[in-house]
Amino acid sequence: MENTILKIQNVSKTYGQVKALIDFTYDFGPGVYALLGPNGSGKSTLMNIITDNLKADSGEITYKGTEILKLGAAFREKLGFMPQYPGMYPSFTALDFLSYIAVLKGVKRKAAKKQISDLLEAVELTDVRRHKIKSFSGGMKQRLALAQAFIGDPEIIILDEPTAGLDPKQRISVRNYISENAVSKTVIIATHVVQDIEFISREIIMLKKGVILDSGSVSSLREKAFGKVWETSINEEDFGTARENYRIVNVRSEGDKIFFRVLSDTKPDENSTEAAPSLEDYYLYCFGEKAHEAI
Amino acid sequence: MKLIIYEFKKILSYKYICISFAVLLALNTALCIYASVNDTERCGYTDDIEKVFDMYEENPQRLRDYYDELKALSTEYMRLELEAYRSGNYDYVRPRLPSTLTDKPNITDSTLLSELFERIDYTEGFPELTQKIINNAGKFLENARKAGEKDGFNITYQQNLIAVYSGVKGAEIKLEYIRGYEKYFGYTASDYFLLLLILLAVPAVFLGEYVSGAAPLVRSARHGRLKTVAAKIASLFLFVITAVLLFQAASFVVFGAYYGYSSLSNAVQAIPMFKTCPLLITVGEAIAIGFCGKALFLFAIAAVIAALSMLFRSFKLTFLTGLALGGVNYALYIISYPDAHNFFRQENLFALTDTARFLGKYNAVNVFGFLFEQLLLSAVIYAILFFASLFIVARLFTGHNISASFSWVKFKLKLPNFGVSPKTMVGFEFRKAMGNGMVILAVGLLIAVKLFVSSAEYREPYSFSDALFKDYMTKLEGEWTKEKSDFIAAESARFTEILGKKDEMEEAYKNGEITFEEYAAYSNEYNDANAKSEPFKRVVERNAYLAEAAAQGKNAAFVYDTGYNKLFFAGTDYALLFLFAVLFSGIFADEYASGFDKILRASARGRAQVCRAKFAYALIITTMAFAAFSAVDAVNILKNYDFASPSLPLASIPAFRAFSGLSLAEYIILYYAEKYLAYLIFAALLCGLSLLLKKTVTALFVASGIYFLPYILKTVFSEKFDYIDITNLLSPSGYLIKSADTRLFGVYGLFVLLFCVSALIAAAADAISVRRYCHTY
Repeated sequence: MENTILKIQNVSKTYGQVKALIDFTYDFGPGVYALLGPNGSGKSTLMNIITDNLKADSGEITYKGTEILKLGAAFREKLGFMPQYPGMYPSFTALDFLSYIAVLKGVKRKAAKKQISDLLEAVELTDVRRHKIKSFSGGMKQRLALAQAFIGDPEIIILDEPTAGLDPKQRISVRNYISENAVSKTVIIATHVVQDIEFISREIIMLKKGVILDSGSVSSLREKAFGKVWETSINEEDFGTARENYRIVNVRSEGDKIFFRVLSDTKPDENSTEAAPSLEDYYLYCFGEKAHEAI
Repeated sequence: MKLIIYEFKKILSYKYICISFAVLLALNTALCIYASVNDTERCGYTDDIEKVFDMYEENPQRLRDYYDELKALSTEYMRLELEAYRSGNYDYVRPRLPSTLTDKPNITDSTLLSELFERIDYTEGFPELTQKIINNAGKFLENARKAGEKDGFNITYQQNLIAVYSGVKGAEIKLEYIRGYEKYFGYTASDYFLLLLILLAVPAVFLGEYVSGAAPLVRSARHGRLKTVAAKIASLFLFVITAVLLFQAASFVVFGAYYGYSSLSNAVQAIPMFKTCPLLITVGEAIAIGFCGKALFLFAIAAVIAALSMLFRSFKLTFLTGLALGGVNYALYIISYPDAHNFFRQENLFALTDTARFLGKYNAVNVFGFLFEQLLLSAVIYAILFFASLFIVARLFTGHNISASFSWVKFKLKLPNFGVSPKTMVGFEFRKAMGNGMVILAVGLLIAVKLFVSSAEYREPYSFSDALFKDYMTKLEGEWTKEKSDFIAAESARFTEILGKKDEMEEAYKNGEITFEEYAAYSNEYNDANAKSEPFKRVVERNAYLAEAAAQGKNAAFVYDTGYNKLFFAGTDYALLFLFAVLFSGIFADEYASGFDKILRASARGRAQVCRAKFAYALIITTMAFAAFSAVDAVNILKNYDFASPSLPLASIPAFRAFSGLSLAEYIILYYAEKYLAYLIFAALLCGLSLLLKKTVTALFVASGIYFLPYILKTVFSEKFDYIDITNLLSPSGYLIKSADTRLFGVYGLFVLLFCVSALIAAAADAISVRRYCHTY
């Protein structure tokens, strides 16, 4: 791939008997990349290996051709990281916390002051910047954790479940912020919420049990779901049976009829009509194994 | 009124305040009980004494006559005893004086009547005592005038003494058996508990609104500003009054239960500790004044703490600052002053809450040569503090910066912003530590424990033997000489001669060769020599040691070494150890516990630099804490012990005979330097284990194992484990002496070996843990 910033080759990691990551290989350039997969698929493991919080059993990660372990602090200078459960200091104010991160990242005081001010405004925490973190709601903490990842204007930003605990409005806000600030950066987002990354990602990597199930652009993945998504309706009393037989992704009831969306390689019944697939449909198609597991 | 009740309810709604209140009150009560139970001088026959007082009231002459009879009888019995010895009857047992006034077999009428007549002498002698004060003051004035001394503090003070004690001379002291009040007024520990309670509770009064987020709500209400401030201050007053009342009541009840109390309506001068009280008040009034004084002064301090809380907007910072202020006041209270009228001696908080000191005598304060009455001056100072604090609190709570402009003086006072963010990584480490409330509380408690333990451990020695030793060593201080040795020998011979003459003198008295008076005089000499001969052996032994040292060409001198021994053989400072355990066992482990370690390790400076910052923080804290704790000990030791010249050789102290090249001063430096390094090693080990093990409790457990397991094995199994007991380094003198005795690679060999081993263990823990942290495994 041209303009490869981060190259991951055959990276594997095993925890005891559990293979968390198996021969993960991918090239990352500028843009937003989404790691999509359910819990336990290896997303966080990969994130921690990239940020050198975990050592891979095998494989190599290079940054612009040089192994990141050899680069050490020089690589971490380019890095912004928001872990899945970001720890903070409850007695610190938001301002203190971001100032500390700036010091940790070696950002000069004057530049840090401006960046902190801009970031607080972007995540809508300016009014509470002098409040202690322990007084923050879960969503506020999440936004603060996101903000700290962007301090120092890093080239590579790793975000592990950045929208966890946010309400819909906040999720959109975060999504837009990432999208706006991802220009000329490599942003890798780990999530299991398709809607968060569907409209902002350059490429999606679908991980299942440590293995890349599929990858590609949103449109290319969506296309793979063509002919597999159907809409049909049924009487309320027959819904139980239908639920056992079909992989249902969406249900709505109108009067005594139930309309539902089904994933199936073949037309479920004569009443079914083919529907335009979404990325979520393909995600559920890939990750749902049993008939009713989609819901 | 309703607002006040609500504010008071808010204070009590804080669980930690209620728990602290209960715990401190229980501690106070327990301490009173402990002091009473362990009081070896507590009288077990007070009822009998009171009966005798009542009898005296009914018929004083009868008891006077009976007491004279008993005194004559006692003299006669003594004479009979001497007569018996004179006649060779050494088995003669002096008859017991009668015991008709009590059922208790071991208490004689003479004992009971002695208490009565001592009391009578005291009561009747009171006018004479005050007249003595007046006369002494008059004499001083006369001499001062003759010397041409100008009117100043001294002249005014003496004039005031005359005026005050002339008024008090007529105090009517009722004759009664005084009991209980000296214990009650002498007990001052409750003041420290009260101050601690205030430090814990007061910040919540104003800060509670901000922490809970209710401040905007309250302040936007109609009565939510000045009226709320007034209600808060009133509720604070209620809280302080309640606390002082309950603490004082608890002490009063406990001491009453163990000692009983005499009449409240008697003049306060009836109590010996108040014999020079300058006020014409009763005991009950003294209790009331003491209570009011305590409450008012503590309330003023509470207002200061409230103001600090509004300035800092931080519970922890307020608590720490308050604790520091309390510590400063305590230091001012306990240190010795060359001038009894020193401002700081008279005006520190604990001097004012100590009723015995406050009312014990006429107190005046010397401020640049001018005399101020202590009561008046302290009222003014604390009133100023109170109103200034009130102003700050009111202005800040009602939403204004502290700025005041006066029409005739353009004056703006702007307070600095205390919410300053650190700039360096080390600064942030301090910031993190300040944020942990439990740690701050533990640190505060450990400091309080240290203050108590140190003052108890280094209290003034009351020992006749040591006093005698001190007397001789001070006279002889300096290098050993033949003349000094001869003097000691002569003294020893004198004692031996006196003691040896006993039979001879008895014989002489038996034979009528000496009179009873001569024999009585010899008896006094004999008793004196008998009391001194045993303690004098210490002087003789020291002389022998120094003579031997001189013969060997070693440098050693006569030194009064009790203070030095106390200093050099002080035990391990467990308060300091626990302080480090609290501060450092989580220094790295807390990052893992919170999950912040991932962000740290993913940051450019989040590995080696963070490690350096944390170790630097640990170094600074260790140094400050060691200095502070050592200073506390030094103050107490210097206050209560005398020290001979530190330029004298260390080998003057027999325990240090092997260290002939060092002076006392040099050893003091070496001693403190080694202790500092030993504690530093402990701190470093804790930090390394915190990083290596990533769990606070586990780190603490392992560190304790390394340090205390050999000590436990030594105590339980074999002394041989002492060789590997690292705690020896924390109190080094004993092990240094052992090292000198062992002579493994010289005098210091064994010691240096243990030191190096402990340093290596800590260094290894640090190196391995830092390496593991900075590199991913």
